[in-house]
Amino acid sequence: MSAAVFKQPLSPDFGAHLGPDPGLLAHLRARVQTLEHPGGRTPQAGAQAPAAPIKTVSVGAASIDAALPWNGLPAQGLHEIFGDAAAVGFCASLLVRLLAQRQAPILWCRPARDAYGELYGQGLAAAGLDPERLILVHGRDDTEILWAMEEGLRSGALAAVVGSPRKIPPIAGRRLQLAAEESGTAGILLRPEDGQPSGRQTATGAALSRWRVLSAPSQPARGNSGQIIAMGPPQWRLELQRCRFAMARGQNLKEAGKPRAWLVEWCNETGNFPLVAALRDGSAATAADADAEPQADRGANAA
Amino acid sequence: MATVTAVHGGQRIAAANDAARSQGISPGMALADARALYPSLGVRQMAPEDDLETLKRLSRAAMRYTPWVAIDPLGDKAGNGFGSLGGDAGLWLDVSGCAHLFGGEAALLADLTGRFENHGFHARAAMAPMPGAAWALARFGEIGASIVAPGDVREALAPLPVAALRIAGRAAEALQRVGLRRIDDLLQMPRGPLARRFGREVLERLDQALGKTDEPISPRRIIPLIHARRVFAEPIGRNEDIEAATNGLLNHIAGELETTGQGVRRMDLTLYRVDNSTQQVRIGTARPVRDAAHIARLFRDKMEDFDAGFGVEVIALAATETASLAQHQGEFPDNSTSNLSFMDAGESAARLIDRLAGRLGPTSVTRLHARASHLPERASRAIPVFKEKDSSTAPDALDSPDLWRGAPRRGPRPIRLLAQPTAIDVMAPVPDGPPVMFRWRRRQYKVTNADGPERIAPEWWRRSGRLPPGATTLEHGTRDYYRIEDESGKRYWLYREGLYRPDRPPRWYLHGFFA
Repeated sequence: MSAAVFKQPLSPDFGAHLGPDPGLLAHLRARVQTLEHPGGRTPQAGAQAPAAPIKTVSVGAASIDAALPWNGLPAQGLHEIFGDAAAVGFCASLLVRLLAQRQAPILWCRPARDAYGELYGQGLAAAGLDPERLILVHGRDDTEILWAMEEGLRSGALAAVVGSPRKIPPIAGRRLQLAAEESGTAGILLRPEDGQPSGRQTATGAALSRWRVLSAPSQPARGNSGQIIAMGPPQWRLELQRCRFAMARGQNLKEAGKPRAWLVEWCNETGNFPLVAALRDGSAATAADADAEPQADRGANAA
Repeated sequence: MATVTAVHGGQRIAAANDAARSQGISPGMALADARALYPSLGVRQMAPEDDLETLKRLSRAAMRYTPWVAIDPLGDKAGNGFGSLGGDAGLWLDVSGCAHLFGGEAALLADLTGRFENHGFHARAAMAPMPGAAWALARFGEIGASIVAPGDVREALAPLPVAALRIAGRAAEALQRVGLRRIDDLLQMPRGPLARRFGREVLERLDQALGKTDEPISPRRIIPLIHARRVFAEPIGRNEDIEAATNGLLNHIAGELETTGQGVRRMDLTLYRVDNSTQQVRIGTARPVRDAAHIARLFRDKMEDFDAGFGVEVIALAATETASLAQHQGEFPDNSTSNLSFMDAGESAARLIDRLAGRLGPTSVTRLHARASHLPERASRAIPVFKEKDSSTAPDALDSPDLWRGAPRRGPRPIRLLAQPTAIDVMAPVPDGPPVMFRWRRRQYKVTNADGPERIAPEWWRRSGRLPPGATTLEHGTRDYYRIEDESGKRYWLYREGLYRPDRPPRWYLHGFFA
């Protein structure tokens, strides 16, 4: 009986409320934007985008930069890096380039106990990262790590903030991204997967980009007659898993930002990737058969 | 009721309460004798640490009257030689210039004794121009006549027993034996023979009591140069009120710092609650600060879960550590070409460090410090940000880039290092070669690639302490490091300990992870 009441419209113009009201929607969107960007630096949608260029940092190879909607990674935003020990190296190589852009300290927030040990100054220095610039913070739990990260990002006094919380509540991720955006500081969520047999941690949707960096078998350095003379430089499998198009003013928006994967060789001295091999598109899904012979395009980048 | 302690192989009374004393029981008596006098005597073991703790608590409470409070270092040592603090322990308060704040000297004393009595302490107090006289009067004077003007000290002390001069042991016995029982008797004696017969201590104490020589009191807490306090007419309890009061004091201190050209490195906020308990909140800064708003923020972070209890009566704020700071405090220019490490990286970074250390604890915020050492785990160390580079490491500080980079012929270094190398099981076909397989954390890793060894010899000039007897450092501490790559391309830093010996299987350790 009560169903009958709902079948007939309550008023003649009842349906009008159900349809999209363009004026109301625009108003609400503007309101949401002012809430999200209190500084007034509202990213305008569409054609009248302000020409303020965003600061980017190179990933380490021109061909990878070109595949991103920003032509490089925005230095004013949050990025998430999953992976094993190679992720730490990838993070360090990003920090080296961020430091070159801005001479300021780096805040690195770590859990109080890490089965994989403490950051090692001499190793970081070998990777080109000046250990004297690091401020290490040990948080007893995720709350402290996230708090320290947000404080660091808000202060605007740092070149970058790195943090390794185990879990990131959605709101916390959003806050970090906003703080990074407002202060123009790069935030890196370094989420090591090694030692966690349960697999992937939950990612935050707030980060501008999400990467997964895994170690890959390296090519030993060979002598003239083909004998192995030394261990080759480390190789990483670099997966771009997701890109948010926020702040993207790029020209290649159609092509860029698709999930892709590369096989790179890390050069310790420069922190760049002198050798990049593009794996098949969408190979994030086909990671298992990644040992298909990668095609090295040495000439493709002059980095 | 009495407390006892074991002295000279027997239980002796250390302190006795009034009821026990009225039965003739006195400190120093053997417990058996005391029991003979009063069989149902309640006895507890003396607990000097607890006594001291209580005394410290009382001394903190007494700081409401004057910042210059000291625990009587003698306790009742003079009395029976136990050196205990129980029973007759005392506090010194230098109230010069403080009495008028409490309505005069008599009112101060009454307030003091009343406050202690309210908390179950039987307290006697006396005020005199010098500590020695005050000590004598508080213990041996008549109750009530406890304030002595500068001119009356001699008369006030004269009728007191010699023990009131804090004379202990043999000198006191000798004085007793010759019949010098009261201070008056001593005052009649010529000084020369007195000193010769009974020792210099007697004269010294006499002079101290009479104010002929100065007796300094070392306060429990060094009085900071810059401090401010506020006494409330009514106790306050709301955190907002406490914060407002603190900010008021901070502004006052900031002004004082400005005029003296100082900045704060450490600051203590002490809150005196109504129930005589105190709470201290300490903040530290990475470098001298004078900005009241910044310091207030640091305190606010720390005070989040502060419990005012029944209310706070007095708030005292003290700059316990200061350093000179230029008069104008400006922001460092963001100079992207300068090569400054973060310790001079600008005001806002220093403030960030202060806040992080304030909330997470000063030891949680660290930086890496390079040391000249061959041992990998010694070469890089995380030290608290607040810790300055001390003089012993000054040479390190000079060439720290070289220390980080190391010698050019040095082998690769991992990006993460285990503080304690973990022992692993390995399979190595050649005893002094790299392994082909190793087990760590119940997982097997197959080695596909290896680099090494890099031999790191122990620092023989440093005592290792963990060396088994008979072993030489060379065969025990030498490490051969290998860089290892497993099937998936992950790289590890392993080492074999000691030189190869056929009769002993080599021990392997995992020490670090490459990127």
